[in-house]
Amino acid sequence: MSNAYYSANVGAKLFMGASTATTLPAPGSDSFTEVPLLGSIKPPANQLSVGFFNILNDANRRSVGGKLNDRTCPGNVVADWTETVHQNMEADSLAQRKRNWYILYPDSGARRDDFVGFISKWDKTEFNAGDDAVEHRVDFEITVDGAVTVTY
Amino acid sequence: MIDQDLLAHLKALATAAGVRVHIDTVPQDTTLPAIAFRHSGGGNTPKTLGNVSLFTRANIDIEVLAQRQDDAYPIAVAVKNSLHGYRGTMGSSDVQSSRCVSDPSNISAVDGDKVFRGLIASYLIVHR
Repeated sequence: MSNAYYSANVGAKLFMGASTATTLPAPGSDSFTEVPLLGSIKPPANQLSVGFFNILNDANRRSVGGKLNDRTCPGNVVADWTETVHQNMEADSLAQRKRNWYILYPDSGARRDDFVGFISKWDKTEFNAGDDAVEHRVDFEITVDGAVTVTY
Repeated sequence: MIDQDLLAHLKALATAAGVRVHIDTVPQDTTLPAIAFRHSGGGNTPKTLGNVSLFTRANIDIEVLAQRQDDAYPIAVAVKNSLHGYRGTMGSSDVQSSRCVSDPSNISAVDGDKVFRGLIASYLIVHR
């Protein structure tokens, strides 16, 4: 058995493509910047729509898989407004601006999930005098447009 | 380093304890009143996925030792007034919040034939 499993708590990275062209370049032709101060990122899920049906004279329930459901990548960053990437993500959230993105896994093979997406949620956490100091974060969500290309 | 910064901060308060402020314990034969403080926990520093350390949480107990409670009380109040709600630069530390999580309460200590009175209070200091 391989020992190449890895931590889910450190080392994963999210990269944002520079191009905002109407027709985006292939990831290999784009330039990427790491999203700084990334607190969490959830890779897009593979979840199919499922249909159930019966067949006459067959007591067993049958099922069939359909298309992929909507795919999103929720995450959060520790806000730092001197970071151009954070500024761009906020601007994108108002502009439906699609970019190339990829998530780099912390495994030894450096798995990479490439996809096109746009910031569909940019939700700054509240300021609350009732708590001890915590870092101000922004919860975000990238909605995936199209396929996710996995490179192991 | 928050310990050294807090040490300087408490000395600068110019309470009746003066510069008799110590980390961990008060040395033997120190003139009273005096202050001693120590970490009682904390250190649960969150990190980003990129392993960047964020705010550090320090739980600190501050003791004021004196011959009588009457001598200790004004010092403990001065310390609380200074630290509860403190925010800003403290030496090389950038204090994000400071809160008295346990008000000064009575303690006593026996060292040979000597009996000390005092007060102990707990603070949570979030800093970077």
